[in-house]
Amino acid sequence: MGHSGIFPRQLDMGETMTEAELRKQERMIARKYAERFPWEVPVWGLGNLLLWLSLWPLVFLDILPLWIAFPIACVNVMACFLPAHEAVHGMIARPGQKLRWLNELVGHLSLLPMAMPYRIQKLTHFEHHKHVNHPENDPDITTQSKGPWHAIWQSFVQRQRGKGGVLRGYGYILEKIGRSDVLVDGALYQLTFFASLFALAWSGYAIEAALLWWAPRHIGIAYIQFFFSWAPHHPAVKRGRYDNAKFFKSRVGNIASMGMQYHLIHHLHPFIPLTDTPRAFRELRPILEARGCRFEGDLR
Amino acid sequence: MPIVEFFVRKTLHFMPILFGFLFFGPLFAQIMDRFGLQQPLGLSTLTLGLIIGGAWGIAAFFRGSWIWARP
Repeated sequence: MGHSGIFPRQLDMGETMTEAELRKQERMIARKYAERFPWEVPVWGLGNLLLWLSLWPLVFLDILPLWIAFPIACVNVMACFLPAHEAVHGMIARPGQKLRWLNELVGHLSLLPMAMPYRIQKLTHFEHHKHVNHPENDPDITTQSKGPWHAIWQSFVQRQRGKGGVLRGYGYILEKIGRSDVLVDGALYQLTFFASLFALAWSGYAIEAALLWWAPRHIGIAYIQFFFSWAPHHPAVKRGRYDNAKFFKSRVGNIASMGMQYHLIHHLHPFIPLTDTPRAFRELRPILEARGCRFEGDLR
Repeated sequence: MPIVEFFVRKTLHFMPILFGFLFFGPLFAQIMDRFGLQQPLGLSTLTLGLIIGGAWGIAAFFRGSWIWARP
């Protein structure tokens, strides 16, 4: 839960602040980053989708070799999740604002390469925020693993249907919160995805379907679960506001780790756009240290 | 619509078997074709692909996993 109640906090500069002052200072700094329109999110989300869609005619018309298109498709799936995540949090526009339609459009369309329904992503992600690291109520707890290689392996194992059906984890959570109605989205997306693969396969394009969609989707999901779910929350045991995730220095750098080095900023202040979390982190750092947040590596 | 729901549920329930036959089957066949394999084991590449893909899909359906580990 971080530090409790009434005792003054010692900040790096020797300054002492009460709990109320710390909270006020933190909110004041965080709010500065909520005002900007994140233009990069719709550009990223819709641009990434267009790039992925363009691979298909380019490959079918022999303009682009499949061995070049495959890694591009993998990156497309890896990159499709975060714009939708920003839309889930209403970063482009909140309900009632003029550009809300754009927010929802980006949310729905960005996730197409992953064949993931936006409404399922939205509802389960909110449950993740409400119940971070809870062994039963956090839909992402299935990524809990002993280490990085185990996390990648677990991503593929937990994806298997087991004995419980296709949307085992997310389906369970959606039923628990009384939103099993959105499982229809999951069913429709699955049927469309598989029907597309079957149609391509029987039209003589099975290899193209495998390397532009089926395999990139599996690789992309593993990447997203590793950096977005496992890495910032590992070991995914603590449930306090300031210790349910950590700040960490990734070996692959900020961009390749999807900015998840600063993921705790997102849990603390979900209205801060992803691209602003590094700056917000640097400005909030003394407060975060006073709060007892976890820091791993020399993160700046 | 109950009949649509029934159809959707059953299709998704048996999807591993369908996927094995309808995707992996032609995929393995087209991979064999691309490598120039002709009449492997005396069968057409599609027949062999469907046997391998279909068997894997059936196994995945009953085991609950396409790989040796399962949740």
